[in-house]
Amino acid sequence: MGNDRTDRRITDQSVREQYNRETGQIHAPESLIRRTKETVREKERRIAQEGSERQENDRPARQRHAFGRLYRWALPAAAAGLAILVGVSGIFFGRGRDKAWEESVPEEDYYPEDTDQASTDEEKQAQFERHLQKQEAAFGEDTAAKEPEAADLAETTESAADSGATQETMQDALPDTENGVKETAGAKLQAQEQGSAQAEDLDAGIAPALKSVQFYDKDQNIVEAEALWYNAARIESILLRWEGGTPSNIKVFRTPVGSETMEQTELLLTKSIADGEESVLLDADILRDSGMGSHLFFELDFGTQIVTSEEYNILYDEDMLPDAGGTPSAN
Amino acid sequence: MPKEEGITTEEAIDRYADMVYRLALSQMKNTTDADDLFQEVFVRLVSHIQDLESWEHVKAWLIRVTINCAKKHFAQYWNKNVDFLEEPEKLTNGSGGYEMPEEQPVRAAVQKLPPKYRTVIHLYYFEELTVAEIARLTEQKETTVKSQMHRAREMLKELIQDTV
Repeated sequence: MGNDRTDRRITDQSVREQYNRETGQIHAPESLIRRTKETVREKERRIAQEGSERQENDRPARQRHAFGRLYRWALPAAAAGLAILVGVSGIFFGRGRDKAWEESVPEEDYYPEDTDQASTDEEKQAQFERHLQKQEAAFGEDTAAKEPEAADLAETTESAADSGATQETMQDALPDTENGVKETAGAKLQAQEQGSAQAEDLDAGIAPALKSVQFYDKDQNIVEAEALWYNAARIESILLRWEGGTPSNIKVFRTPVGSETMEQTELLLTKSIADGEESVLLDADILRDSGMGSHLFFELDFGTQIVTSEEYNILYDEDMLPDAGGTPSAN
Repeated sequence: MPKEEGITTEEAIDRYADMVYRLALSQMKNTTDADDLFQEVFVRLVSHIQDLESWEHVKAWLIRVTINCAKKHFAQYWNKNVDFLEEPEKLTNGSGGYEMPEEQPVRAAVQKLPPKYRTVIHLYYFEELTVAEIARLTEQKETTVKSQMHRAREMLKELIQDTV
């Protein structure tokens, strides 16, 4: 037993000495050292340059930071506001409004006894048609302006709501028969549909395209590429913005670095997009196992056309995080 | 503890180039990958050098990052599934680049061990680190390192006997 142990120790010791002898003959090639030093100098120069630029732009950077925070929530909030305003304007302009209005107005108002203002049915009809044309023109202008901001839409809605006096005039000018009232509602609806069609035409003028892809860190700062590489360890979310329609879904793909790796391309995520959305914020957890490097790209399916983004070089490296410290616990 | 003076990345390369290169070679299966790993480790050091207070810290940091980078390399699908059929590395001395004439049976046997066993054997034998130090650097329990050492030695013994 004791001899076995002694034998093993001797064997282990001799193996160790032999391994050390063999390994000790290995040295890092001088060319490699020279190349590494050059790369290191280049990186130090870049870091120093970025440091000085950061100092110069310190104030704008803070502003960008604040904008980043705002920007993250502004888009969903604006979209929600827009949806509400469209709904409200639908009540004012659409069938719902007419029905409500019809129900709320007493029957005698439909058939005013006093007909002094318009002596004949023809005059009333002509007066109403003029007014309708005026309204259509106004509505057409609003549509042509086509500013999707909530404020403008609110203004349009308000102008419609504020036209109480006009509505009273309309009420006076309504034909004396119920059919006339229905025709009026139909005419208004038609005008509205024409407006929508114009808006859609405007939309149709822009080809589907990916406007921007931005990576954000946990503080909502934009993560910039370092030497054309993005560090996935810093990225918390990815913001995609597009124009010219809404894609039905977005796909995220990754290809490992290296030659002939296209067949290794894998689908990381498929995200369905609600109608009318103009952007989407994706969670960057999908990039966590990017390893030593991969190329990331996005596909937006617009139905008739699939738009593919450029490729983004992604590296996952926690050691390069600014707050990672780096002081090892050992020794 | 006050920071030691003169700690720069270039000085770190001069001091620890051989150490990092040997460790990289023990982890990777060919010299090309070892070269890449060597460069990557020192380029990363640029961002962290100001946080390291002594040369001992620099040495520990280099060992830890070399091991982690190698792990990441093998964690990738491509590298997990492709085994390079390169002959044992071209070993070089300081003057830069010739094949070592001497046979290296023990190193060849160590290279045949699984990566985690290679790591502990190299750090224990050549860098002469203690089990506790290896455990800290590889972020494992001491008992795990001890058991890896034991299995590595057993496997090594068999491999060397087969060779002889």
